[in-house]
Amino acid sequence: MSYLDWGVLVGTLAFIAVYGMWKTRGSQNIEGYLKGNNSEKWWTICLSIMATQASAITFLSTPGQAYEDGMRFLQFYFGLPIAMVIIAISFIPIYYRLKVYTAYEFLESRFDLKTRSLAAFLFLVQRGLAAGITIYAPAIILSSILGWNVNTTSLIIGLVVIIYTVTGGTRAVSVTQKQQMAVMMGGMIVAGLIVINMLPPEVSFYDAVQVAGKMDKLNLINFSFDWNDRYNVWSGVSGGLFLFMSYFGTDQSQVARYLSGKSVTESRLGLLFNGLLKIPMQFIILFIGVMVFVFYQFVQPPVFFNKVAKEKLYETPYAGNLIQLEAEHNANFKEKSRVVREMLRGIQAEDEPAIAAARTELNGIEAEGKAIRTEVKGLLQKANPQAEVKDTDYVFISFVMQYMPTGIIGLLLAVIFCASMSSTSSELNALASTTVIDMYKRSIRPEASGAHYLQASKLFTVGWGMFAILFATLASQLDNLIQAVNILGSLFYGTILGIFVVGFYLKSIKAHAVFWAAVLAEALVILTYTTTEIGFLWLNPIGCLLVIGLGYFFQAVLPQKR
Amino acid sequence: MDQERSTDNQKPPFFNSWRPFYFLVIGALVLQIIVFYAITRYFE
Repeated sequence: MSYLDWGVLVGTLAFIAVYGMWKTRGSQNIEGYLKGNNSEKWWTICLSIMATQASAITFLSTPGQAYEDGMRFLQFYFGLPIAMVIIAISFIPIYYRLKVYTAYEFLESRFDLKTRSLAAFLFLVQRGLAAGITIYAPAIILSSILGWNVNTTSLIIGLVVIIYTVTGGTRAVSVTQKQQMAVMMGGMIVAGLIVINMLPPEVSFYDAVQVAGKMDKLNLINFSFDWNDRYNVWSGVSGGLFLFMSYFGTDQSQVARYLSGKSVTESRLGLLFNGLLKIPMQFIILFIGVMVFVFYQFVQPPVFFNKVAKEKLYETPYAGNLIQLEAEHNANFKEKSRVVREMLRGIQAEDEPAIAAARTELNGIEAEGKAIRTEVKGLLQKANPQAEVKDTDYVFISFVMQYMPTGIIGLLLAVIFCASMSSTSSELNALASTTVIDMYKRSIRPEASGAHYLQASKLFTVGWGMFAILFATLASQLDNLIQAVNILGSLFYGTILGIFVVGFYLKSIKAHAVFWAAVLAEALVILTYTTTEIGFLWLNPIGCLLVIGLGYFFQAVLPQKR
Repeated sequence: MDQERSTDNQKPPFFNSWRPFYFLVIGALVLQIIVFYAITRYFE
């Protein structure tokens, strides 16, 4: 990487961190630290919400996913705008009326302390582990690309976030997220324009879109219902609705973002604009991945996108097999590129039979190419059974490192660091506020001064930050951890959402019934996950509906407290 | 500070009530699904 790239990367990250600390300097109280003195306008809230949700994996994985699987992942977000409307109508006014610091405070006023503590505990377990992964997931990829030690990368991301989050609290999180979001979207748009510009001169933008469409990458909408297919309109709208209602309505890392708003109006507008902008944003990121795919129809792609893993394989006894497979891959690419160019000529001449013939031929060539890549992955696993054989996450970053101009590489690495830091800062802030407000202040030290709780909030932010870094450094010793934590989220989200839905809408169900319903529902969700093959996105509606159903049941059979 | 915070009676910008704003968000979703469906079918 050139000095200019290093300058852009380090300069961007240092500027954002210093700006965040400078902007939030001065004396603070607990209200200012945890709720930002309710001073944020809707655009800050909107950007903050989007930056919290957009982790580094969003920018690393999503273009790679489009490269492999097309744009159908976009359907996953169709439940989000509906969730935004429901939260704007129901959740926000109640949170404001009760003047809560955390979402879980509402549960005590509606139910009782044990229900509040249960929800807060489930959040702390799930989000505490997820914070480690938010750091680890990009660190493993960036360290591989930059040649750094993975623990060093984790430590850098974690320490920078801890410094400004501890210094400025929730306001620093919001302030930095505005800059980070600008870097993220600006960087991705620049990347998209450069990718389009790098297509061969005979391929116009419209031709590129046509090629992508004919090669099944513009598969944005699928109305066919299938329980096992995670991405169709129906699973996106229904499963996504439950997931996003739970995430935005009950996860403190998001609730804290809009509770920092100046008024109900500002918070509502922030969420609703997120509902308007999120899908177009994901569309842009996926579309960049599709353009990278089209680029690699004309320029030779590597047989395996994780360069470091491939180079390690050269040092094993399987090097000869790899060289042979690479030769086959190169020949396969030449053949594919020839047929793609034939298809392109058919598209330009509007010659449908030629296009159809090319598509048929391409299907066979692509199947061969896939088989070669599968063999390479098999070799990797033979050489090292622990090796990560999924290279989707490396598609975009390896393209950036190889083809992007100097300066832009630094900017796009800053995008990924910013995304990781923006999510982590929200998580640390939320973990600290939930620990202080729902546990420490409520159950351990209820009578201390505001200054004491402010100090405690800062200490807990550092504590959770250190825990996240420690977890990130240990993560490399565990298999499939990222997926495990994603599943962990879905295991808990449904139950937590169920408690809140009962709290908001089902007044006849009381504290005792909802608590035992939540405990039993959580056990049943875990049982469903361990004994069936059902996609984990469906665990969200299942958990929620179980809490509601069991809540009615327990309300009817349990003896009522006066 | 809390006294300064408004209640949920405030109107959104551009509209007289929140209801049209909610319809705008849901309408935008429906429109996007239609446009994406058209893109899927046109380019397949």
